[in-house]
Amino acid sequence: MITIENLHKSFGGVEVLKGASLEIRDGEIVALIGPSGEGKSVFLKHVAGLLKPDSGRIVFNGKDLWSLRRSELVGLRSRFGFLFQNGALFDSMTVYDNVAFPLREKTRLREKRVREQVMRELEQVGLTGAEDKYPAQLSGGMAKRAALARALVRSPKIMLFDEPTTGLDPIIVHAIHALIASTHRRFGFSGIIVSHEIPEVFAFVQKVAVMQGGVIRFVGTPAEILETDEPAVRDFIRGSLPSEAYGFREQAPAQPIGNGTSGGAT
Amino acid sequence: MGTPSDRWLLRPVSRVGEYPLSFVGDMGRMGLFLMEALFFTFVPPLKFFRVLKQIRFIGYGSVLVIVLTGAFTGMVLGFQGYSVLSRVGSTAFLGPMVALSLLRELGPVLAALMVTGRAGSAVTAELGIMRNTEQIDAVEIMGLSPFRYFVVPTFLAALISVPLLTAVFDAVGVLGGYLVGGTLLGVNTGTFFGAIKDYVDSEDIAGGLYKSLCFGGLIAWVCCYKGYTAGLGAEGVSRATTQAVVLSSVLILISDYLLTSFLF
Repeated sequence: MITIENLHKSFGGVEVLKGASLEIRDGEIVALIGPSGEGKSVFLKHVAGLLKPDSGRIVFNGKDLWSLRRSELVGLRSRFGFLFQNGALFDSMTVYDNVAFPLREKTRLREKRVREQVMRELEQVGLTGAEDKYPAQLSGGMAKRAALARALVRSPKIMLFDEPTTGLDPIIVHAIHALIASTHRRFGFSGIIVSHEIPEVFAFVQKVAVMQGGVIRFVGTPAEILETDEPAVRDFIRGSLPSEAYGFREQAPAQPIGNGTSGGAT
Repeated sequence: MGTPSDRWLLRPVSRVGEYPLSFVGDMGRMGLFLMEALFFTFVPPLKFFRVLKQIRFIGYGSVLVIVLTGAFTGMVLGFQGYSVLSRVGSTAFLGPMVALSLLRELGPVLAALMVTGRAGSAVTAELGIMRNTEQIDAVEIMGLSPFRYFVVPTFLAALISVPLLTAVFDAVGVLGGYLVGGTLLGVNTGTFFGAIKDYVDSEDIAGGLYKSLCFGGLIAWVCCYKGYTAGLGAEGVSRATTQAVVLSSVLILISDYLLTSFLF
């Protein structure tokens, strides 16, 4: 159980988090949605302990993250997986070495076992054959999948996804969502997924939280959020839904100004 | 707070306090950074291959630039020294003059400045980009210390490489001085090197190497700190790199004065 209580955080006098609170039960994935620049990624980095709040608490199974000793914090972090927005792959290492890195550094597995695990994970994310490539040689989708393999290779208990599908084409988006859903079934982790993929992300999360203005405005199931009456949340959700949900008509092509009125430029 | 004209009037006053506060804050953060780097230096495991990789980059990669600057500095010293010493009829002392200038002062300082420009700036830029692309956060989230992987190897590599590069700079510089003094200006070879043997003590050599050891630590400290705390985007990394080179260079010259007054 992860409890985030009343987080406040300012950067250079600008308050980004203004009392954000959220609760995540074991085995539950929460989709954190909301307009851009409202503090979702900052919130996620607080949960991971990468940023220290000005006030408020992050509690893991009754233990406050910031009152842990260094060794306890290291132990807790060993249970984390974090998929960064841009993958955060080590650019001086190949895909294979990137995925093997947590195993080599945090376990005493023999290289043969490491290889088996890395290859299995790469196969899961569809990157077999790309193990010798460097991050700079990967497409955006491949880099995200490689980062996902690295995040999952140690079977984390808590997974945090920071916009795992932003900037990717719909097929890759679908593939990554399917991967997250299947790995969730496989490992049963708890987690938060920051996403703008609405309503696709609702298909595999247990709860949805909407962040607006530095606070969590709404928490509920995917079904509840689609039927909410709260105006700000409803407007955001409607604005995010694909156009066919509202019966948008096909638009005629725009006509160039002055088309057909003159013989051309003079 | 107040009208725009009040703010305009108060701005210079607030700036007066802002700069010292920011300076003191920076010093504190740099001090804590150094403490953490030292902690992970002495707490195993040491990332030995990363240290070797950094020695290759900072040390081996800087040899050419050190040889070139060392040779030309020695040659200039040969010319200038001969010109001055010939006025008082003491050209026999050209060897010690060149060697002592290099060993005690120019070797450690110029070698450190060259390493700052070539390798220190690259270390800052690399760490700055790693910070921006969240690679440092990725290590931290795995329950590992970024200091152990990115900072400690650079510290140790600089502590090992800079004194060795200084020794190369000194040796090549003396040969450069001899090339000009002995070959072009006619100072006797035996006199040149014999006088060096007579007038240069092991203390002169050791003093210069102590200096270069301090400069190596200083370069690694400043350049790693600036990269580790670099601001966002290309502008943040470029500002951090400039600050790292300027601050390292200034601190090298200031600490050179302090070390000279203690060591010699």
